[in-house]
Amino acid sequence: MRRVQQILIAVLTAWAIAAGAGTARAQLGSLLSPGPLARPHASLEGVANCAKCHEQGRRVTAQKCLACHQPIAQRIARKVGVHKDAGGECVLCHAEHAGVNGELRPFDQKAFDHAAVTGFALTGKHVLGAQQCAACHKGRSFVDASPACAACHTDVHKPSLGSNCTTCHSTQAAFTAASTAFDHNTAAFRLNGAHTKVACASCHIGGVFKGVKFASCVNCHKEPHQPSLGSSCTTCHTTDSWRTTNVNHQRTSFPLVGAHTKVACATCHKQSATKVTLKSDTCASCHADVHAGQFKQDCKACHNETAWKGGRFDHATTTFALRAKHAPLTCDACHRPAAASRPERLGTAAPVRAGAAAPPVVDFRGLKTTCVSCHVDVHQGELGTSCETCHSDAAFAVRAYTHKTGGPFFAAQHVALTCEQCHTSLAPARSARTGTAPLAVRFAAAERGCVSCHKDIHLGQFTARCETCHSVETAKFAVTIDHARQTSFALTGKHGAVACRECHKVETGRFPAATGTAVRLKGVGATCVSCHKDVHLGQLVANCESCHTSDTFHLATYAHKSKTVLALMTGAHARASCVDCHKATTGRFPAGTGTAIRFTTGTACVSCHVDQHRGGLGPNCGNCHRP
Amino acid sequence: MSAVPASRPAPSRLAGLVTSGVAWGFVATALITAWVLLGLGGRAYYGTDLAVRAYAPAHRLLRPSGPAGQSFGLVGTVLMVMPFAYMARKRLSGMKGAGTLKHWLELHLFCGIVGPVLVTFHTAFKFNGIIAAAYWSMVTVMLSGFVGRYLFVRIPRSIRGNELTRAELDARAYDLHDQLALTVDSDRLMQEVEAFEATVVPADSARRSLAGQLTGDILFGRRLHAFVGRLEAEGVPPTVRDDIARVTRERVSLLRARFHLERTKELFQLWHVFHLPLVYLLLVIAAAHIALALYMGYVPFRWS
Repeated sequence: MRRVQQILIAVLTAWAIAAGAGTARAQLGSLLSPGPLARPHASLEGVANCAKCHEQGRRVTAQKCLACHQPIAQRIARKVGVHKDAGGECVLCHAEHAGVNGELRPFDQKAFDHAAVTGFALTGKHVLGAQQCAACHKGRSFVDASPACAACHTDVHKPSLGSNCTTCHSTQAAFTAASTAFDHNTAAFRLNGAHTKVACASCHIGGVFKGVKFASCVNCHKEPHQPSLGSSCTTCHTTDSWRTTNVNHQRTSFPLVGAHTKVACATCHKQSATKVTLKSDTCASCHADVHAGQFKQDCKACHNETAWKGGRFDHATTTFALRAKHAPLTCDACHRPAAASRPERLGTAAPVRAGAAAPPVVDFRGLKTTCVSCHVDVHQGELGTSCETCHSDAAFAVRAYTHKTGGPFFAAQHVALTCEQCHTSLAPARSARTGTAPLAVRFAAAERGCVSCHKDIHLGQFTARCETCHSVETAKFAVTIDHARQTSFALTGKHGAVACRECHKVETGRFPAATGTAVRLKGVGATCVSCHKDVHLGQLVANCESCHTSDTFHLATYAHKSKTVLALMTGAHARASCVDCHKATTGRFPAGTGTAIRFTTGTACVSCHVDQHRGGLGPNCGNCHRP
Repeated sequence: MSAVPASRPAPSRLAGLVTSGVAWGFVATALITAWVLLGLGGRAYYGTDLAVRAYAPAHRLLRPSGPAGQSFGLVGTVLMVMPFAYMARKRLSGMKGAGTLKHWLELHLFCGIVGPVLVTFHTAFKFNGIIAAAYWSMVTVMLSGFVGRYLFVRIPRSIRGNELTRAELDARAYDLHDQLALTVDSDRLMQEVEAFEATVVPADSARRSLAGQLTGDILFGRRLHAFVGRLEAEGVPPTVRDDIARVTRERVSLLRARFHLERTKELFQLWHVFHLPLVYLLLVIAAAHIALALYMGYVPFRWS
């Protein structure tokens, strides 16, 4: 067992020595080192170099570090940069022996204030660089970076503009957008109008910023006018836009006058004037021919440049001179868009504007000289085509017309009538063309019968002609009738002075022509009671003429015809008046109950006298008394 | 029979844990680890990439030369030296009265576990140079300590820690058998216990092998548990079952140790040869490490 122990101890010792010696051969320093040095310090690896950083009993001192890092030492001394506040040992911030990739410079990029520490503020586009240090700090040392633009940026101007880049460039815009920073007003050529929006490279071709010619527009702009209009572009153009409204058209072959002066350029110049020269000799170059080729002559014959409408045209040059009422008419009063049924004759007009519907073609050549070419024949052909017979172009309305025939009919009361009172409209439909109601009346075939104009207010009570009773000679057609001759009831006595209406009453009821209200002229009875009231309430059945006459109703005398009564008419009875015996009595009568003078008086004495004897002497008064 | 010394304390597992250096070592390890990782910010610090770890917030505290890191190194070093006291107690006659060997061994085990843990935190998990050899030697020593303890407990000893002779061992085994017979009070049950012993204790004629020893030790606990389960199924009262389990555990351990005793002793002696040289190697390199640190100015309690 002891032998085994000895062997094991020998093996372990050999392992330890071999391991130690082996590694020592490789690098003794690595055995003692607490870890590999970072890559920048790789040259300090090895036991021989320990003392370059480490100091006996003092660990790692700042003096040792700064002995090598002189630039840092200087910045610490000058109190600038990251180390301006540095104090104490370097190892307090910088750790070593953390491996080849060990971080030597702990750095909080987010918290780092580049402006405060370095004096170079990261603004604008440089802000992104705050997270990409290596974009500017190409080398390992941060202090190598220079604040000069050219230190990082390539001078594409090849020093022609000097070293002060900030004159034109700012960090707020990309390098290629230097125009946002450069005040071109400080240059000899000030930018205004559209020039302010032009990219620098458009004029500064090839990055040439100095010596660029600008005296004339054509130094930068091409001359589009062929032939050239000269070098003074500003006569027409401004710097705001090449498109200009400032062209002096008088210099062109088409001076603008009248309405042309108010037209926008683009209305005629659909394409640039530098590309397309308009033919100004004909109006049709710009204007659409709304007449669809009806006129071969130039538009100026009718139109002028003041306005399309209102052009003067001498209509007398046509077969229809415009006179009187026709003279002030506008053209379109007669010359209207062609009827839809006739487009094949006129064709279609060109649209006035692109995309717009073609306007209707106005028919200037289709009209005839006859009135009906324009006017509606309100007589519907009844009176022929010779309108001039009645109408004139001074006034279409017919003020007066003397009937050629008819004679007395149109005299007296008919003289004052207006035409329309007799010739009334038969067809009140409105004209689709004029919008006015046509005078659709009958003239030639008008009836002369009274009822063709007058209403039969008698509702057919008479079949005879109206003239039998009425005449145009009397006002309002008053009746002139001979009642004795023309009727069966002669108006005698007081009847002659009675108004017609006293007997011919207005009735509502059935009449021969219709049921209605009319004066009852026929069928009025010839008896007295037809008109008069029977005040005797049926006591007297004899004809009224037995007692009364047409001269008066009152009776002066009456001779009783009854022998019984006549026998009593003696003495005082002969002197008594009628009313002494025939008194007004209220009571029952043959025609009904009422008040009337009672005629049917008894012949007994007590019929009139009071029996003073109260019947004591009997009814026969004649025994004692005499009339 | 009363003259037969008792073997290693086995009856109460809880009592064993209270005086167990290993148990206390693990507890201390857990507490220290939790404190460093959670209390001192070690979790984030040790997880930081080595290249930038020096700039982590906890670096100044936990770096090897920092207040905590250096303290870990100092205490760890002391704890790594402490196990030599056990050697001194064993070998120096002047220390014979200074406590039992068992207690010194438990202290030895405790320090042997906690020391490397503290040193590990002192390294901040950065192993470079020859000091790394010392570190890994320390780890090897610690791990071999567990092997040593495994062998140690399989050499039956008296309560005072003295090795039992074979005769004493046999006598103790008989004692335990009698104790078992009194506990069981049933021939049938006693036969079952003996049958179980026969399955876990190799016959004297069986071939001895390290693999068989390891396998048997590992499986014994499980087999005993299964056996007790069978007893429970048979309706054996709990108190009887517990007594059977306790006595059987000690008796089987004793018999298995007896069976492998010669080989165990041989391995234990061989283990000493392995365990000690690595300790010496570790101490030499650690001394050099400390000397170099002091030389460079990294003196204790000066952490700036």
